[in-house]
Amino acid sequence: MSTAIRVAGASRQRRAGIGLATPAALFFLIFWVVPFGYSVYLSFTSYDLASAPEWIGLDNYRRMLEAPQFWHSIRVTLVYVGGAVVPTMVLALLLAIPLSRPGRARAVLRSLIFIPAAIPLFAASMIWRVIYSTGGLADRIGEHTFGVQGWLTDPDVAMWSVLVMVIWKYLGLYVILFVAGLQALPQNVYEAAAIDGSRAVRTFFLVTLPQLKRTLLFVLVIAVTGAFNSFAPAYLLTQGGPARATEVFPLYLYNNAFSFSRMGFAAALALLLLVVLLALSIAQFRLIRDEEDR
Amino acid sequence: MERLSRRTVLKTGLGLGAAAGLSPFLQGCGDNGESGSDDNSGTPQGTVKVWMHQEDLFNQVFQSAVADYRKQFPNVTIEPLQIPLPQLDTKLQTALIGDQAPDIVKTGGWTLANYIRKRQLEPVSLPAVGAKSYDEFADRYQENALSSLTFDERVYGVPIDFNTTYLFYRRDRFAQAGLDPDKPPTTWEQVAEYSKKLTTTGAGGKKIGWQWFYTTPIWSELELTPLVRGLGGRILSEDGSSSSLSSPEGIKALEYVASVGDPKLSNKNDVYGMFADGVAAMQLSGVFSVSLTHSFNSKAVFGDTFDCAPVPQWASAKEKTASGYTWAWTVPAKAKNKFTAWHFINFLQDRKVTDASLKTAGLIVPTKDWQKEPVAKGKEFQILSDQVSYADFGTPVPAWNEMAQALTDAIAAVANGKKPADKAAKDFDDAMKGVLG
Repeated sequence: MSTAIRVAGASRQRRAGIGLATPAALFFLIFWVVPFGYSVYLSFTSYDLASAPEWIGLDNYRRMLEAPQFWHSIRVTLVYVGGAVVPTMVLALLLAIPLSRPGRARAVLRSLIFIPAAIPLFAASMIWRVIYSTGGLADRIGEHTFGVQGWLTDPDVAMWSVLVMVIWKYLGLYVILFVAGLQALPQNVYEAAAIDGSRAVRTFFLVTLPQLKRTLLFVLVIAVTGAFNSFAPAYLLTQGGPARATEVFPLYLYNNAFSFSRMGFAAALALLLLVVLLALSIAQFRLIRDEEDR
Repeated sequence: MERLSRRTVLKTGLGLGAAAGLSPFLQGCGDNGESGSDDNSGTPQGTVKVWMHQEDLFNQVFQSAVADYRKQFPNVTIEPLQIPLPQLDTKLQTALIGDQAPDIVKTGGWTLANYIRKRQLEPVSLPAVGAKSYDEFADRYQENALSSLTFDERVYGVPIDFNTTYLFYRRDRFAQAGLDPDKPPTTWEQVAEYSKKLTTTGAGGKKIGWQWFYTTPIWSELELTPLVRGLGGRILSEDGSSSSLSSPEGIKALEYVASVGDPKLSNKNDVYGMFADGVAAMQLSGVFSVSLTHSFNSKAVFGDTFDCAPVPQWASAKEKTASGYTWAWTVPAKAKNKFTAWHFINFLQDRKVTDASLKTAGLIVPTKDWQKEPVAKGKEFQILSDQVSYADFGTPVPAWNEMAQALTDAIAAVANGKKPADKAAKDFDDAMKGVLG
């Protein structure tokens, strides 16, 4: 093949590549780069959704650091993330181990446990509002254990009530992910462990967990980023109350943007959230990559 | 922040405002000429999108009014959209910036200042509502109903759902507690005393006397206003430029809020549901609670199971006080069919519709002589009629949402024992410094 033909072929290939990539690039530019750039710009402005944005430099960032509610929402969010991610993952893993074994009954149980994840969050929240209302199911169960509580109305209790619903809602999803991970593990390792006389608990810690690390890290990434971004459960159950006890960071951001018309300030909050999530995701994916390299 | 002035609708003021008010309307019609649906020719036509908060009882009245209007004006299509109350404001804000404004919105009078400061609402169109002058238009309504919708001498809405607060109480619970159902408390001190007598814990769960709304911003203002004003204080200064909740009156009012009611109780229908179920024996509410309570519990019958009375006063109060509010039909500045929107709003002021609103949903359209209508003969309407003269309809501030949320936080913090009243009041005042000024 002559050089001229090879060059023409390569050129044609390049044009085709550009042609095929252009729609995706345009989509990315229009729906990601432009809004992101505009958000960055807005974060340096005072903008009330009506008049034109007014440049105020770093004022929004300074006000953010000085606002007690900002720090309060950070604390609330950290409690929320820890309270949602750790118990959900531990419970999901404990349930996934028996459910990953073959059997019709286990398949049915896997489907049942997934039901809450399939229920729309709005509907689930309505169900839980009824459960938590005075005289509701939570009170009936609670009167023999915790006592009757203001499940969503007591600032000391409301966050834990929201977390119970969140764990219930997402547990099934993580169980399914762990089941898939467990079922993909090579069985010969377990057979070898059994021949060596390893007991179930020892096998779990020395064989299952190390092999499941990639799945664990994957679930951890989606759980942590999901929890940091979580807005709907607190909004639907408590609107961030009582006394802002459940005002997680995204809800604080939303209130500033849409309830108080402080779009510039909210854009600064959104950028901070983006930076935190990016840093977390990079760290977590680096962990995954390190695992793959080993 | 641009300061808005609100003043009582004096005829002279309205006369002056007429020309100014009409001008932007006509200008607005011209601006929207390209949409093809707006028409200043005096012929209602096209589609009118109406947004309002969810209110099932009023919706029945509204649907019937739409059917009647369509019979007279078949060229008009009315598209109502019911939106949950907590989302109405947010949805409207985003629609207004996205040029997706509806033609009519039922807007809370307390949020009007924010929209008007941003020039997002249209003054009333005189031709469309069939008035020759603002004087003539103003003559149709009670003075203080229109005054809360008037800014810089322009009227920005037609009032509906005009209310003062009341004391609602359960006659059956009073009788069970050995209290005379015909003698409801007239002072806040009595409310506290009765509340203790009405608090019981039995097989049916805890029952209490008084209950507050602890999480609803509009109710935070409506509840705290009579308490603070009755003591001679104010939550916000008259011009809305500063707050003074950390005054002795504000602190005493917050302490009172914490002393009665139970913030731990909850119901899917909030305090309305607790009252309808008899869990709470007393609450502050509007006249709509007559119908609403019965709709939540068909066994609760007004005048028999439950009743209403004027808002209690402090024993030492020199002047009576109550809180009040009004909703309004408004037209966004970016609405595409303004003339027909105002025309339809005017149709909703028809006696047949206003009587049905009152009878079916307990919603008052405060026309000049609304209390003389046969359907307004009930005791509840007479109380409202008396209270209107001294009710405080709140201070209009553009940052009302932020102010009311901070007030709700203060109430919740004190009621739940998270902060002492003086600290919560000071935190509120501090938070308002950067918001109201």
